[in-house]
Order: sequence, then C-alpha cells, then structure tokens
Amino acid sequence: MMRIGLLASIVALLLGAPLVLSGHVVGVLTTALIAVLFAMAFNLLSGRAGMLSFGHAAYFAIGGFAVIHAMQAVEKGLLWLPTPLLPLVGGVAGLIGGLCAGYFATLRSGVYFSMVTLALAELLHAIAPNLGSIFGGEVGLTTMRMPWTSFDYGNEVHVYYTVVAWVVLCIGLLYAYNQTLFGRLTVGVREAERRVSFLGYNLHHTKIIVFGVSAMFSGIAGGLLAFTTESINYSILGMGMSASVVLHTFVGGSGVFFGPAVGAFVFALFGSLVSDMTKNWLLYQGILFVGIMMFMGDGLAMLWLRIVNEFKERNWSALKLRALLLPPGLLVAAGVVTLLELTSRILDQQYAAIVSRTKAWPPVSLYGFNWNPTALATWLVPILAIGAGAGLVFLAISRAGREAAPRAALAGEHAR
Amino acid sequence: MKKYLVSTAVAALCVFGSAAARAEPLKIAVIEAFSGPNAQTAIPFVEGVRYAIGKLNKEGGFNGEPIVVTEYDSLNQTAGAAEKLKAAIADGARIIIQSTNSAITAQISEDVRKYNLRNKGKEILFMMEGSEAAEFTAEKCQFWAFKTASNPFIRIKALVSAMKDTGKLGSKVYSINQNYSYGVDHEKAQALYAKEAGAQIVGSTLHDTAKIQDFSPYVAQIKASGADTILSGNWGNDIILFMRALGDAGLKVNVGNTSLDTTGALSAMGPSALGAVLVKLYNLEAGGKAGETFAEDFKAVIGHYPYNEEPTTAFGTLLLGEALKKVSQPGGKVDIKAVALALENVSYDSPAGRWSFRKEDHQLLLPVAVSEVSKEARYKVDGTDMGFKLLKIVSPEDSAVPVDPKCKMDRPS
Repeated sequence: MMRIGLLASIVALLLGAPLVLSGHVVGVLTTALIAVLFAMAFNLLSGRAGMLSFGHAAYFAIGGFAVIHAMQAVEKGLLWLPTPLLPLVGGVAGLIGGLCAGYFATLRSGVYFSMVTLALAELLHAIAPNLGSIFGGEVGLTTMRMPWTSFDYGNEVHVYYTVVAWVVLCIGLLYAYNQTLFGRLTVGVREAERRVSFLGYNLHHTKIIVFGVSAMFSGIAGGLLAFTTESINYSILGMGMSASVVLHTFVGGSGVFFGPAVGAFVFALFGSLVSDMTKNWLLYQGILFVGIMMFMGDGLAMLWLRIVNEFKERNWSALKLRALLLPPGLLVAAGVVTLLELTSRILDQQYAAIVSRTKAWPPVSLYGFNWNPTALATWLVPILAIGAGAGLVFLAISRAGREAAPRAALAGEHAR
Repeated sequence: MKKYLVSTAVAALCVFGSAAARAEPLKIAVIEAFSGPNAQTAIPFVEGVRYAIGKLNKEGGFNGEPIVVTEYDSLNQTAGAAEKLKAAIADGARIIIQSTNSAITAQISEDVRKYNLRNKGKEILFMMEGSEAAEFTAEKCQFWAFKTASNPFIRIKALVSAMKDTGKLGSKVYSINQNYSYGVDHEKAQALYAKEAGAQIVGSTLHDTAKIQDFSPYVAQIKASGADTILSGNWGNDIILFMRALGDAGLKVNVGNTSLDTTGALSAMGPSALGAVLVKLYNLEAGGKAGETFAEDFKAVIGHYPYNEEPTTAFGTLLLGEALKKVSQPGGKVDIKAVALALENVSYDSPAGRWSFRKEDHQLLLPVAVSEVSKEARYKVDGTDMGFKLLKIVSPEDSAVPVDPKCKMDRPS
C-alpha cells in the first residue's frame, strides 16, 4: 500500500514539475527520464536474466535512428503516424535488432556473452561512419517534430509530457512482464540455467526473447531521445553510452526493480547540474561511483530499502548511527571538494597566465570567498575538515561496534 | 547602525542609478566541451574567444556596456549541448559561439533555427568558429548561423595552388583520407583541385578513422603507384603514424596536409615531417609588423603565443565585433537581426588579410596560410627545432570556392 502511494506521488510530482520548473530544468528532467527508461530496459537483461551486456548503446541508437528516419518520412508526407506514437518505431527497430543480435550473443553465457555484445556494438560503431545515407555522417541527421492536435511540439513541456507518458507506460509494462510466468523464467535463467532446460524450456530461445524485449525498451528510450533532440548522430553508438547505462544500473542497484531508475535519475541530474558549477564534475562522478561501489555495493535503492526497514523494525541504534555518520561524512566531502576545486583553479591556464604576467599568486574565488593560495590556512582548513570528519566517522563506528558487541554475544547465548 | 544605514542607502542608490542608466548588456554563451577527453581540443578555441572579447570590451563593449560571456560545458554530447543551449537562452544569451565537434555544431545550428522560427523578435545568432564540415554552408546553411571556419574544399584549393606555385606539387598525386564524411569531402576536393592544377591522381585510399596502428602497407601501396605527391586530410594519430611510416620507408615525396600543427604532432613525427606542407587559416609569421603586434598582444593577455586554433577564433570573434560596433548605440537595445545583417557586410583586417562573410551562404572568405615544416621557422613548436615556415598567403579571392547549390537560405523579411 505504501509502495503504491509512493509511486503515485512520484508520478504526480513528475506531472506537476513543469508548472514550477523553468524550461531548461524541464529539458534536464526529460533527458534524465530517458536515461531512467534505458537503465530499466538494460536491467531486464543484466539484473533479471543475469546477462551483462556491454553493448546496449547499439539498440538504444538503432531505436533513435529509426525514429529520426520515421520523423523525416512524416515531415515529407511519406508516412502517416501521429507524433506521440513515433517512439514506437524505435521499439520495433530495437526489437528486430535485439532478436538478430541476441541470436548470436546468447549462444554463449557469462563473460563470453558480454564480449559478443561488445563486439556487435563496436561492429555497428565502426560501420556507421561509412554509411552516410543511413547514419548521416559526421553532422548526423536532423528533423522537426510535426504538430499533433493541440500539441504543437515546439514547446519542451509538450515533449516532456510525451516522454513521461512513454516512460511510465514502459516501466509499467516491464513490471507486468516480471509478474508473468515468462518473467519468472527470466529470473530462472539467471539463477539456474541448466535447470531451466531440464524443465523442458528451450534455453536459447528464452534468452533471445529476453534479449529482444530488453533491446525493444532500449530502442524506445533511444527513440525518445531522438524525438526530444530532433537529431541523432553516430557518436551515440560509442562505448560511452554503453558504459554509462552499466554505471547507472549498478549505482542504483540491479537487485531492486526501481534501482536502475534511481541510479540513472541521480547520475543524469548530477551530470547536467554539476557540470554548470564545475568543470571537474566527471572526477566527482567517478569518486561518487567508487564510493558507492565500496561502501554500498548493492546500490542506492538498497540503501533506501534498508533505511525503510530499520524504521519499520524500530531499529533505532542503526538509524542513530546513520544520523551520527552523516555530518562528519559531509564534512569530509566538503573538505575534499574544497581541496580539489582550489587545486584545479590554481592549475587553470588562465590563472597560470596571470601568475606569469604579474609574478604573484592572486587569491582565487570559491564559494564567494577569496582564498589566498600562498597562505597556510587556505590548505589547512580543508585538510583539517577531512581529518576531523574522518576521525568522527571512525569514532562513531567503533563506538557502535562496542555497543553492538555485548548484544551480539547475548544473541549468541540465546542461539545456543 | 548609522554606518549600516548609510551603506544601504548608497547601495540602493547604486542599484537604482545603474538600472536607469544601464542598457541591457549583450550576453554571449560559449558552449564547448570543457570536461572529458575533448576538453584539450576545445581549450584553444575558447582562449581565442576570451582574448577577442577582452579586446572588444577594452574598446567599449556593446551599447556602452561590457559584453558578458558565459561558458557552458556541452559534456561533448549532442543532447548535453541542446540542454545547455536552452540554459544559455534562459540566462539571456543572444549570441552563441561553438567550435569543436561537428555533430554538436549541427545540433545547435538546428536548435537555433527552430528557436528563431518559434520566437520571432527574440532571435539568437550562432557563430560556428571551428567545425569544418562542408554541410554547414551547403544543405544545412541558414540565415542565423555564420561560419568562421574553412572547409575541405577551401583548404585543398589553397593548398594545391600554393604547392604548385612553390614547385612542391608533382605530376602524380596520391590521395589518402579517413573514411567518413570529412575524409570523403577531402578526397573529392583533392581530386578536383589536383586535376585543375594539371596533376594526375594515381591512386586514392579511404581508411578507418583513428584505428590504424601501422601505415606501412599504405605507404607500400603509394610507393607502387609511383606518386610523387601525397595529399591528405588526416588528423590526429592518423597523420602522425602515417608520416612516421613514410619516414621509415624512406620515401621522398611531397606531402600536403591540414593538421600537422596539432599539439605534439611535430615532436611525435620527428625529422620525417621536414618539408611537409601545412594548410591552415593562419600562420604567426604572416603580416610582418601587424602579425608580431598581434602575437605579442595575445601573449600579454593569455600568457603564451597564439597556437593551433587560437588566432582563428580570435579573428572570427573580432569579425563579429566589427558588426557589433556597427549597430552599437549607447543605451540601445540588443537587436540581433541588425547584428546579423551587419555581419554580412562588415570585414575585419587580420594581419594576413581581410576576413568577411559571403552573403549567400554565410561562409567566411579569408586568406589561407600555406606553410612548410622547417628548421628555419620563426616560432618553433613542441620543444623541437622545427616549426612552420610561411610559404604563401592565398588571398580570399583565390581560396574561395563557389556557393554550394544545395544552400537555400530563408532570409527574414
């Protein structure tokens, strides 16, 4: 019941967002939602069926190119299709591409499967620049959305609502898929491949279908991107796209249905918003990824579920520990960010030019303060913050450990 | 308390006073890949723009106000660039400058065109200051976009004519290029202009882009063809490794290329690059005294002598500055249509010659510098004893190529 309430309020928030947010932020949300759908589609294959694909950008791109070609055909009057249904073309193209590629890729499992998917995607990536008429060459393909009933599609809010509708519908379908017998069989492929074939199912066909369905939803996501930007280019076939979907899925947590959605949403917003503030955003994204993998390897969604469970079980000591760890953790983060930002500002070419011209080290501006790079305090403050924060984290953990130890011993007594 | 009151009053006065006297400042957005592996390519373009805007502001800015420049990180993705364009427009930017990555240029150009269609009276001007793809002044040409870069046809026309005039063009030409739209355009241009110069194409190759580690089979093929001149539009590792393979084979031929000046290329190619000919939009040796003044002024502001694409974007932005000066009135409004119309008629005198736009397709007409890799160059690069010695400046009239018939520009009424 609570879960349905949460989902309904998320959908309501998404629907209400354009009323309060500026056009630019609505655009950011649109791309974040597309990343969400792509990660969810990817996780059907990697999380549910246990087949880690390193080349999912291929199906995303196939969907995108199919939609652009369809849009161009609509623009020229060669094809009749209502504008909001265009992403469907991407789904069909993704399904066909996925079934064909899936036939070969699923002949092998494990690492070999991953390598085949990688090779197939790279194959397409290598061929695309040479096929100018299909992939548009270096400058790519562009087109224009046609108006549909009262939607003129010149406004990003119209695009946003179309994307929300498609993403919600597709995630709903993915959820329904998991509830079906075939959805259970998909998990079976991950858990015990051999048993699936002993039960009388054709393992290879099952895998091809799962691959195809995952590619179909990826194709819809790619189609939505093409629909949003009204353009596409072969660079989308590159490794970067395939890698980012893996990253999103693991950050969010592939073990939870909504995990990949959380990861994709957080990282897509992170990329768009933090890159406005600092040029080092990729470094922070990397640190965040490593941090999440080291300290909560099952992802952000799992962390959320744990906290919810602790509330339900009234496990106050665990919650108290989390609350105690938060401020020193933030202190460490602030110290690290300050150090990195100061360093990068001093290493900047423009700053180096000023230094070589004036032969002095002028103060650099950060958070509205001027920091003098030759003063000891400038460097001591962030280092002290990191040290103090780390010390407090260590203290809190060891104290919690000491408190927990007698209780664990007691629990041991009971067990005996 | 009293002090607080006084300072508040002064602040309020300042705010009201400035609101009354100040015109709306012109905002320019630079959308470029500031992060990730492509940031290295983007930096020279941005430095050129920074220099030029600094100079324009020193000369009085626009409408009596300094021009405000904001830099946006495109994340080197088309979707990212489209988002940042929206952000820039929301922040009030009226002119967009972008240089690297033709895919992003195409995205922004299309978005600007559509935005202007949908927002009459609030138009945006787009300066493409680096993308070389020929499409931008052909099927993708549009009124609101101005291209201050060349294209393969302009470059190869200038290269071939200068090589012919300096006796570096043989009679048998081999053409080797990368197999994608840019390389294919180069191949077409090389075939066309070599033939016009009376040379014969004895062979041509299109190879995979940035994937080949060993060019010796290609060099063997060139040797077998009997070519005495090689023309190539290769960039990055594809020209470095090719030149090294050529040096290793000991093949003595003339080489003409467009990207020998990439940072690190000369030191990587070593002596095998000596004698190779580079065609570029500018050479620091050009323009005598005026050229030296520009180089020293740039160094005083930015911290080093201009290199790579820095002079090109500096001149491109200063050409925009000429149009801005023409429509600037103290206290006036920002009228982008007037700026665009002025931009079609102004010119900027760079040390090497006159820069101006062609009205029909908004292609830049410019003098093109053809140089030779030599130990006698005035400015040595990459810490080697080699540099680019100016061979010839090809005049804007001689480097211009005809307007592409595919360019159909919708002009505002």
